[in-house]
Amino acid sequence: MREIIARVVCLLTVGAVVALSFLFAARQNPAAAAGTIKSPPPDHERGRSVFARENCSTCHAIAGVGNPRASLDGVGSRWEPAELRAWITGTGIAADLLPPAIAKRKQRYQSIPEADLQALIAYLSSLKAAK
Amino acid sequence: MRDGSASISPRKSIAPWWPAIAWIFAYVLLSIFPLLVLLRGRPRAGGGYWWDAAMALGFGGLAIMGLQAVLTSRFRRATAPFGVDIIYYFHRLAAVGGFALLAAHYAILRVKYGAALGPLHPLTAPWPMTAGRGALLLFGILIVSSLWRKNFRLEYDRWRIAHAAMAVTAIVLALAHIYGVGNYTRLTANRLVWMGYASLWTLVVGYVRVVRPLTLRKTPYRVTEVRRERGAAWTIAVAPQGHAGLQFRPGQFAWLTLRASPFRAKEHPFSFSGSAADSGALQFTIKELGDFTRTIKTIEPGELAYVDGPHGIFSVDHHPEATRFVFIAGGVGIAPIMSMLRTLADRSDPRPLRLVYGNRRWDDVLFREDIESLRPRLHLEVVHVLQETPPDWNGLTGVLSAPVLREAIPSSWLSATFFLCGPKAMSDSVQRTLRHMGVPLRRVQCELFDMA
Repeated sequence: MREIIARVVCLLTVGAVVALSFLFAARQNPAAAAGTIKSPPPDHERGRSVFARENCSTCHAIAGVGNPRASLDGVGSRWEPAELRAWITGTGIAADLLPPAIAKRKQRYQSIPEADLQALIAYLSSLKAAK
Repeated sequence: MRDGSASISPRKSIAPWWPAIAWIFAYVLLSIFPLLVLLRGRPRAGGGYWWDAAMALGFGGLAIMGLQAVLTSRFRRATAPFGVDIIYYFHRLAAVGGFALLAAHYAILRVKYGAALGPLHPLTAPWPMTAGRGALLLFGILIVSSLWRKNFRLEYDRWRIAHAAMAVTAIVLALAHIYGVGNYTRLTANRLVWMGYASLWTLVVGYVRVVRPLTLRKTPYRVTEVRRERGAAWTIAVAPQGHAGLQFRPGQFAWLTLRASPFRAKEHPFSFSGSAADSGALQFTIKELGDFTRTIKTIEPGELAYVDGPHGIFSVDHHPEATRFVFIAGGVGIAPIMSMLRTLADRSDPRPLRLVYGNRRWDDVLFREDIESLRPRLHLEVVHVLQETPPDWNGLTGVLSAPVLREAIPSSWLSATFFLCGPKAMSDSVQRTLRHMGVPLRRVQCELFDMA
């Protein structure tokens, strides 16, 4: 008898967690029209490989691939290359706007070789928002 | 440990389900509380439907895993309405449920956002990811090593130490993972919630591992007698040293620590087998069944012991409204029932009692003579059931199967309150038979012996 109650309570708890999780997801993501993003041009191979090598996907998504919390779609339309450099390396405007812990984490990217950094910036600059 | 509320006479029957409902509600609320806080926050730009769902599932799963430590902390006020044995049963269920949620968290991320998980290798992956994977792996090992402990022949004491160590490590890694990933802990409310949970968890573990052993150490017991019984069983009597001891209800049990300090968590649960009306030493009757119980015969009078109890609701005192009782015992399951019979005899309880007692051989029938000596003092009928019968046997033979039980329990006894105690397989099949015989489940009390 008690075992039955135990099973019911467990199912109830797990069920409540599942229900609230999807409720939360629905609330955070109302079905909104997402504009089509121009997919990145086929070149920028070096910039792309720097992006992959530094595991930027763990925090950033491009065209739906990667961590969707900080999408980089259209970032080339939002920021100038010099500003993109600041964002990548956690300096300047980024140091002001980012939470300190994250800005600090980004500063390790200052050690990226200059040529690679420029290729990465060029790649990100090419990510334009759809008109 | 003294339980001031327990008295020798049966307590008045309060609505026993009200505290139980309250504790269940508290548990469910604590499990979903992090999600309620998330929902209360302002909707920010979502990370994607499945992303956010995965995060929330992870939070819920971890809340459940964290609460596991609270479940096994044996706070008597919380376990008393349920019986602590069912709490351990629930602990196992909740582990599987919590793990399923954590696995879903990981699976969704892997399938839909694989690139966000980054590299697998611990040395190249961001440390919060390694921490998360480590936690998930440890939780999986915890569950497998616990549910199948006997199949893997893991020795109990060593398994217990490993279990605690892995659980602590997994929780710490999981909290580090949440902190390191940081998406949601930027929100103050969220951060407070998880700090709150971490604190609660630490306090509970501190209580179980430090405070309670310290309290036990202040109320030691000494072994006064080690007596051989029939059927490879031993009765150990312990008397309180320098304190008043404890009161228990007949049928309850306690965790007994022998030859170890209370800090080492080398405790084992055994039923009280003596009368609750007897103010002398506490008696435990233990059958030689496993690693620890085989060492009982080497215990000498004078040795130190610690008793954490009483626990359990498997007692006639929880059913003062019953008009008659049927006790069904298999093997060493007779121990708590013996306590109830001895106590009822000491109280000169007039109610009709029937004992159906299954054993392998007549010579191994534990408490055979003690039961006989109680019969003049009680309205007690005894039905022995044996698997191997002596030549002149004209009683019931076999196991406690359906036909045997139907013969042993006449229809006039179906209105009784039933107490079952024995190996799980026996207990499960007897419960089924009783149900088929028309006994409602709420009048069948069962003690789950197999807690680990």
